[in-house]
Amino acid sequence: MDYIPHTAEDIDYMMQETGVHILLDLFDTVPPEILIDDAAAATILTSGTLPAQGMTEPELRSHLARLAGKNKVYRSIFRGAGSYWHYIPAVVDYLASRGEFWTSYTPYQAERSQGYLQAIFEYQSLIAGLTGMKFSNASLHDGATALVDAIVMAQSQVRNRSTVVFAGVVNPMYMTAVATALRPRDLAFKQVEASDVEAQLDGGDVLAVVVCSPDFFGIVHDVAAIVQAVKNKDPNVLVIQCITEALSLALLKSPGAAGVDIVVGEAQSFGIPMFFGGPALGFMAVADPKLLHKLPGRIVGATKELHGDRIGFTLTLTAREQHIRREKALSNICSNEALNMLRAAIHIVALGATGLKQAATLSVRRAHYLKQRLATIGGFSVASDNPTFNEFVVTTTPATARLVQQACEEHDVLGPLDLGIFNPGWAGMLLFCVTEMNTMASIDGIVAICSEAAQA
Amino acid sequence: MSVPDQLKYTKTHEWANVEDDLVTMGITDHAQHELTDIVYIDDFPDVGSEVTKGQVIAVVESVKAVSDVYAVVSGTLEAINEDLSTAPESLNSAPYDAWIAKIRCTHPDDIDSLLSAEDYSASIAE
Repeated sequence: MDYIPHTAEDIDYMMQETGVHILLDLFDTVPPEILIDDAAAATILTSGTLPAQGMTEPELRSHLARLAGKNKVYRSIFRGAGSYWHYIPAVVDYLASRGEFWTSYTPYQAERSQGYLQAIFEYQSLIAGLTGMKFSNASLHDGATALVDAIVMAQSQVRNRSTVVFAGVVNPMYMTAVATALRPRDLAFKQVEASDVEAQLDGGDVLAVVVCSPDFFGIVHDVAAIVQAVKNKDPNVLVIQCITEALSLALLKSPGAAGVDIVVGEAQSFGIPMFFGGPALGFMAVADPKLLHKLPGRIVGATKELHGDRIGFTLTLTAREQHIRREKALSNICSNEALNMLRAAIHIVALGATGLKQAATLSVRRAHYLKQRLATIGGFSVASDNPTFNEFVVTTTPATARLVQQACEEHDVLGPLDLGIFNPGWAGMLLFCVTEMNTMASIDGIVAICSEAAQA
Repeated sequence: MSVPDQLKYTKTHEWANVEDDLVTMGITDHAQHELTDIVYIDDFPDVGSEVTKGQVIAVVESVKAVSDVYAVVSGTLEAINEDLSTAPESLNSAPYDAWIAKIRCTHPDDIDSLLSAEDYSASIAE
C-alpha cells in the first residue's frame, strides 16, 4: 500500500469509474448551508494531489530541507501555556523508532501484539502511579479533549445538573475546546477564584468542579482543600483536576492524595517534542471502580492464560467504547495516541522518579530565579500572593510588553506569551515559563532584554 | 430455552414476578444466552424514584455487546439487586434467580399487558 496522495489522473479515473461529475458531489449529504463555496472547496479537495512529474529521492530531500528551512528555530524558549520545552533523553527516539512500534497498528489481536499491549499496560501503571489514582486509560489525544471527556463522564454520573465550575485560571484554548465540543449539552460554565468555589454550590445545579492546578497562570492551588470544601458542601459533585504541565506530578501532592475523582491533562512534557503544538498526549485516570467503567478510550488489562500460569495482556472493558456501545458511549474515542504514549512511557522510565524530580526541581528553581529578578525591574510587577510552579505572570504596560517580544524575536528567543491576545483585560500581562532547558545564561539574557524594554 | 410458567414476560426479554403490586424483574434465559458472558450491569435510576414502563432501568454489558433492560411496569423503584455488582455472571447462570429490580406498581393495567409464558415462548420461537 502506498502512503502517497492521488495524482490528478488517479482522481479523474476514479471519477469516471464512479460516475461522479464534480468532487463536491461526494459531499451531497452535508447540508448546503454549512458547505464552503465551490471554488474554495475545489481547491481544498485537490490540494493534496501529487504533481504529475514525481521527484527523485535527492530532489525530494532537498525540497523538504528547503521547506523546513522556512521554520524559525528558537535558541531558547520562555513560553509554556500548554506546550513545554523539556529535555528528552536519546533513548526515547531510539526505542520509539523501532519498526515494531513506529508503524504498528492497533493491538486488537492480542495473540500477536503482546509487546505493544504490555507497553500500554506499563504506561497506564506509570500514570496511575504518578497521579496517585487507581485506573488509567491508554491515553487520549490531548489535554483539552481529555478535559471534555472528563466533563462528559461527570455528567453521566451526576444527572439532572447542568453547571460546571472552573476553579483557577483555565487555559483559554482548553475553554474554547470545552465550549465547542459540549455546545449541544447546554451546560453552563462558571470560572471562579478557588476561594469562591463553595459559594457556587449553593444552587444545587453543579455537577462538577474542575480545578486547574498548576493553572494557566502557573499558580499551584490547594487541591485537597478545594476537594474537602466541595465534598463537605455537596458530596454529589465530582472534582476533576486538570493539569497542563505533567511534570508537576513529580513534585506536587498527587491528585489521588488530594481526593479528586478524575484527573486529566497533557503529558507532552514526558518525552514528546513541542512540534508545532501537536500531536500531544492526553492522560486520564480515576480512583473509583465505578468510574473505571465510564473511562473513554482504550484500556489494556493483564490476565492469565487459560491453560497455564503466564500473564498476558489484552484490550479490556471494550463495551465502553463507541464501536460497541454506539450512541450510548460517553466518547467517540475508541483509540489512543499510541506512539506518543510509548514515548512518554519510555521517558518516564528512563528518567525514573529521581530524574523526573530533578527535572521538575530545576524547572521550579529557575522559574523562581527569573521571577525574582524580573520583580526587581521598575515597570514590571509580579504577583506574589500565590505559589507558582514553572510558569508565572508578569504585568507591565502593553507598550513594554511589545518591546520585550520584539527584542526576543531579534535574539532568536521565543519570549513570554502576551496574554492580551486572549482577553483585553490581560493586556500587558506576560506569561513566562522556565524549564531545566533554560540555562542560567539565557535567563540572565532575558532579564537584560526586559530591563532594556522597561527603560525605553 | 427455559421459560418458567409462573412468570410473566415482555417482548424485550424481561421476566416479571408479580406479588400483588410488588413486581420483581430480570432478564430471561433467552436474553442471557444471546448476550453471552455478562460482565457488568449499571446505570440504574435512583432507588425511590418513579419509573415508567418501557424506561431503561439498567444497562447490561457483555464482552461483545451492550443492552438496555426496560422497566416492565410503571411505579416506584423499590430496590435494585446490589449482588449483581460483584457477581454479574449470575445473570447468565441463574437468570430467574438473579433479579435486577423491584418495582411497586402504580399502573395495574401494565401488569395485565405482560405476556404469558406461552406467548413469550411463541415470540422467541419466531
